[in-house]
Order: sequence, then structure tokens, then C-alpha cells
Amino acid sequence: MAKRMDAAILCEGLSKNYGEVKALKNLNLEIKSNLILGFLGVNGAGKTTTIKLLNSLIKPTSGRAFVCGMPIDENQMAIKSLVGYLSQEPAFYQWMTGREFLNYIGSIFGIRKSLLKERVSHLLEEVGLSDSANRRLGGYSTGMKQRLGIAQALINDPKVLFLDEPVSSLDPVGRAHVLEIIKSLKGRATIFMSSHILNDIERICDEVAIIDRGELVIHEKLSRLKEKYISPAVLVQCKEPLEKFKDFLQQQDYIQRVEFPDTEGKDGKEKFSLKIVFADFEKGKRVLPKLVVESGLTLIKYEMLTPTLEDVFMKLIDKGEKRGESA
Amino acid sequence: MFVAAFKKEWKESLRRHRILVVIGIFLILGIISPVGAKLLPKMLEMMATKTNTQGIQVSFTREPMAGDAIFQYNKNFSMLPILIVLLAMGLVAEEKTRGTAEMILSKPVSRFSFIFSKFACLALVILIGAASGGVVCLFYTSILLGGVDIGKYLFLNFLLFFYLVPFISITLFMSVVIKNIAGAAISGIGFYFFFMIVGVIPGINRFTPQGIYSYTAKMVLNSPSTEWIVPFISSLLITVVSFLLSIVIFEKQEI
Repeated sequence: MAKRMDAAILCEGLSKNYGEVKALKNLNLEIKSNLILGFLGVNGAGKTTTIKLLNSLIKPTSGRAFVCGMPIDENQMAIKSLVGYLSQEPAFYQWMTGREFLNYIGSIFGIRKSLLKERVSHLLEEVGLSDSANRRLGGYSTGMKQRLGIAQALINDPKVLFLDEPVSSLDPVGRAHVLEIIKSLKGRATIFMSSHILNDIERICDEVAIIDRGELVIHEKLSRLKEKYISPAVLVQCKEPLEKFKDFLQQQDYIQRVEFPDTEGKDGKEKFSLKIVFADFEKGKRVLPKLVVESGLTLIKYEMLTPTLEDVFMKLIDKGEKRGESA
Repeated sequence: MFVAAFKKEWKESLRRHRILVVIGIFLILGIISPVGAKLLPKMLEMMATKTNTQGIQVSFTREPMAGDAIFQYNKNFSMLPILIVLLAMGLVAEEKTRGTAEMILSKPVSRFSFIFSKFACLALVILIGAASGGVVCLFYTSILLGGVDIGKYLFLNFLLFFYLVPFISITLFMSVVIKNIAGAAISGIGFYFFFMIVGVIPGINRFTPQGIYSYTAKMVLNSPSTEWIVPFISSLLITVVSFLLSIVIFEKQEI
């Protein structure tokens, strides 16, 4: 019971089937208050289904979920008044202006007129739509609609904010802007943000949950996830071709794997760079530069590689695929 | 939250010119009915005289009266359910297709308020239209054809409004059940023809909205009786049942 009250979002065996298709399988997930969770998965992994379930737009086949400590199947109106939601492709009334739309959404939440006026102006300013606030939504670009979508999701100063791919249709400038807005909410609201853009998640999220074919693969703090799943690696670049050196390195016990970066060896050219992943980082760090010199190679570049979320993601999704194949 | 949803519906009716269209159509009916009743006999006489080469005389045995205008006004109402269907067909289907329903229903708006605001607003729009048409028809009839029994006329208009209301509810129901707008329209019009066809069967007519229409047609020419009660209650029942079904089904739907 205490767990339910502490968590901003709690899913207990949440499942959703569409006929034979199992869109979400037994999701168990707990998200503490005021964190930003990146909900990652490829298209069709079950991200939108989860968000729709948590917003009571669809009903679970089995399992339960709690938002702000309340069960979603019993306290829908109370929950909805505490959350903000932005769908993947936000839709608006084309005949309304941006300001009118925010006023309408605010009135649904029962926000007082004087306060609403102030909040609408502030949000329009924050999402950079002040100049086009009185234009009809039919004339808004996709990016403008996405930003208005963010504004409407924030109108009630939500305790929990659900964002389904909030930046996927934005240009790089718009994306950076929206991510800044989301980041600025850190500590004020719990944010459940789905995305398949790993860089964005990496930039702003505290925790990451990865979902693959309806199943939660992992839920972990971002920093711990990197520690746990990423082996330290270096990039070595030499003047000479490295094919033979690669074969030699692969036989060393302190090296986990050696591979050529994707950019290397195109059109049958020789390969001059190597990505080396260590099994024993301390030993590798000490021995490798010496080995390069002893092999008669001219070292041009020796770079420590920072682990990225993309690496973790690919690794975990790949594992899932292999699991699926073997099953 | 109903108030906020209703205000939005009202604003939409204004912006998308629904109110203008409805008032315009009712005003046209309100004007052409008395004007037609007054001028049509004269026009027919003139045309017959002009084109007649065989010496046939066309003459009307009596002068047109206020009752003729009201009868014509009532007759013109027979096609109005189609207008209602066209106005109501997209109320829910369009919002579901476009995704605005998803946006709004993620906020603290109950599905009942969502549907009821649409029903109430369209009923109000029709009421305003019918009232405008009724007033204009009364005005022109009084000027062109003499006095009208106001009490009887008001009652006639009251019944005619309730002849139209079930079609709002039925089309709204179809708009909830059927995913696309065209489907909702076709089935709404289907119900209109169904009531017309069923209305031909003796004894069944009074259990349909068509029964109200048949009564008002008789009422113009005769004294009012209690025959309106059964069709009126039937129309109310059809309205309430189809509205409640809309709510029940919409509550279960996944957006």
C-alpha cells in the first residue's frame, strides 16, 4: 500500500491484448515522484499503448495501475485533473486560435479566469508561440502544433506528465527548445516520456525503461545502466592498415571484442581505425599503447569512447531478438 | 466540465456557421410558406391563362387563408430530419477520426459531458432556428393572409421541434457507433426513411417521430385532440434511449 502511495506511477502486471496481438505483456514498473523517465522502444514496442492505458483512454486486459497513488480504474477524473498528456500526434480544433485552445483546456480543468489568462500568456511565451497565439490552428505548422501540445499538457501544472514522442516531429532547434522546457520541469513533476530518439533521452532523463515487443526489458537509472551494460572501449587510429593487428588483439584475454567502426573500409579500402572493447580495462589501458608501438604501427589517435545509451539500447534489443528467435 | 464543453460546442457552431445555416434554412421556410400560399394560386391562374389555347379556365374557389400557409410550413418540415442528420453526423465520428477526442478525453471531462454537450448544443441550434422560422412564418402569414390562432400555432411549433429532436439523438448514436462520418450520415438518413416506411403501416405510425408530423398536418386543418400524446412520448423515448445507448457504448470505447 505504501509503495502505491509513494510512487507517482505504478504498474502491476499491466497487460493489453488486441485480439491475438499482445501489445503489452505483464508490465511491472514503479516510478518515483519528480523523476524524468525515458520510455524507450522501437516503433510498435508498446510505448503508446502503455501511455494510453495510464491515461484511461484504453482499458487493460489484465493488471492494475496507479497514478499519483490512485488506481486508474477507480479515480479517473481525480487522476486526470493531476496529469498532463501529450499524444504522439496532437490534434486540435482547426477553427480555434492557439490562445482559445489553451483557454478551453484550462476551463476544462476549472482554472479561474484571471489565473488562466496569466497562465496561458506565460505558456505561450514559454513555448515560443506568443506571436501566433491569435492565429487559427489550421494554419499552424507541425512544429507549432507540437509546441502548443506541450503548452496544453502543462496548463494544469501537472504532478505527472505523459509525453508520447514529444519531439519526434520537431526540427533540431525546436527539439532543443522543447527538451529544455521538459528539463526545466525537473523536480516539479514526474515526467513519463516515450521516445525512440536516444540522444534526447540521454540528455534529460534520470531513469530509463526499455520496452521491446510489449515486454519491459529493463528499468534502471541512466548512469547505472551505462555502468552495467557498457564495457569501456577505446578507438585506435594508425597510419597503417589494422586487419592483422585486429586478429592479434582478438587473442588477448583482457579484450572482449575488436571491431572496425562502420565508417571504415568502405568500397574495399583498407581499414585504419579499430574499436577495442576491454574485458579488463585496467590491464588493457596499460598494455595496449605499448602493443601498438611494438607492432610497428604509427599511432595517430587514441581515444577513450564514452558509452552511449544507444549502445545499451542496441545491446538489450539485440538480446531480446535473440531470445525471441531461440524461443 | 459540461459548461466548458458546451461553450466550446456553441463557439464551434458559430465559427463553422452551423447556426447561420440552420437559421437561414428555417427563415426561408418561414417566408416561402405564407408567400407561396398567397401567391401560388394567382401565379397558377396567370400561367394557365397565358398558356391556355383550348379555352380551359383555371380558377380557385376560395381565397387562400392563414391555415394554408401554416399547412405549407408544416409540410416543409418533412425534409428537415435530413438537415439534422447532416449536422449531427460528424459530432463524435469526426472528433475520433481527427484525434481531438483523445486530446479532450485525457482531461477531466466525463464521456457523458462530452456527448451531452454536443446533443444539447445542436438541440439549442435547432430550437433557435425553428423559433426564428416560426416567428417569421407567423409574421408574414398575419400580414398576407390574416390572423393566426397563436396558441394552436405555438403548440404546432413545439411538436414540430420534438419531431426533429430524435434525429439528433439517433445520428449522434450512429456517430458514436460508426467510425466514419459518411457511415453515420447514411445510417441517420436510413433511420429517417425507415420511420417514413414504417409510418405507412397502420397503428405503427404513432410510435415513431413520423406520428408527430402526421398529427401536426391534421391539426392545422382540424381542432387539436389528444392524438399527439403517444407519438410525442414515443419520440421522447427514442431520443432518450438512443442518447443513453450512445453514452453506454462511448464509455466502453477505446479512444
